[in-house]
Amino acid sequence: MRKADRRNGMAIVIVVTLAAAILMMGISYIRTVHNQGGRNTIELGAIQADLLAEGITQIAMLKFKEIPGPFYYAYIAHVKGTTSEPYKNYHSDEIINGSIAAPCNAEFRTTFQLLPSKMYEDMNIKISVQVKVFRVDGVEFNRNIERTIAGARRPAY
Amino acid sequence: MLSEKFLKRGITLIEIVMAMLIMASVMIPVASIMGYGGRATVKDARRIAAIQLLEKTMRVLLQEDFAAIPTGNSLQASFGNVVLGNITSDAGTVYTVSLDSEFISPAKFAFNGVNVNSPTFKTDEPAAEDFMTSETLSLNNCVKQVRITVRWMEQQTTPVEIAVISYRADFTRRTG
Repeated sequence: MRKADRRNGMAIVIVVTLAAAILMMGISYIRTVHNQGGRNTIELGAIQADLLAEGITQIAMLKFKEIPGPFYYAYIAHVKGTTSEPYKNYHSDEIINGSIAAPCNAEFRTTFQLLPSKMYEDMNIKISVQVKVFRVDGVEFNRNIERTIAGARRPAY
Repeated sequence: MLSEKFLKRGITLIEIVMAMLIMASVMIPVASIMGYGGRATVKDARRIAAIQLLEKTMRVLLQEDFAAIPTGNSLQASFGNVVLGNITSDAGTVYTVSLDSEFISPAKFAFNGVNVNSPTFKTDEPAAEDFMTSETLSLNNCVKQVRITVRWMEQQTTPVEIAVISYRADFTRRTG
């Protein structure tokens, strides 16, 4: 076979290869765009978790405002090791330790903690709310909010 | 010999024409893919604007007085600093912002009372027997569940909505 004959059809081969490469890049691009859909720099799940945590914190603060005394003694008994049941009971409310299904699938947990100082004369309370929002594709968003309330301890009697 | 050269040139021309056709058949879908990417970017921008509107509305709502937050479903009348109803973005997209609000009533809180009058009670080391059985404090109309929803249309036909939920507590219950 002559050299000139072997070169016949080379242009088509080159163009087909080039076209295939461009097509592959195009497919890769469209896949990237498709996968990025709904994953904006602002994630809805993170905002849902943040605002839900803010709301749960409000409820927890309301509980402490209404019934602070039982929590003080339950926490001291828990720390001193005499009994942990009242402390666990204080955390048992579904309204601050539960889950929701709409508008997002989320779980939340609330923890009350005392931050005593000056031999328990000043008692600041730390309320921690942990929220997990689960996106439909399995991606999980976590949000922790902590609020500290300053308080002075007064005798119960 | 001359006709053979002419024939070779003709084949090369056909090759070029065919190559151009193949390239064109590839570049047309690639161009449409680029257009798809552009549309997806605009769609994302609309969603980002909706999320920002959603967050802003809820944060403003949580700053409002407890009593000022109305209860009801699909509320679209603005109140206080909270803007509800139809809001048109700079890009021309119309977002409908609505509020669903209801009391969680009663809000139940569990606790163990403490018998502080017991002669053996020690303030700094309460014993297990100082605690009474579990009680429940039920508060009526002290917690509101608030849900903000933002709706808009994609491609003028497909309705899209996003929502957030939160709670507002009445801290003025005892001072009111």
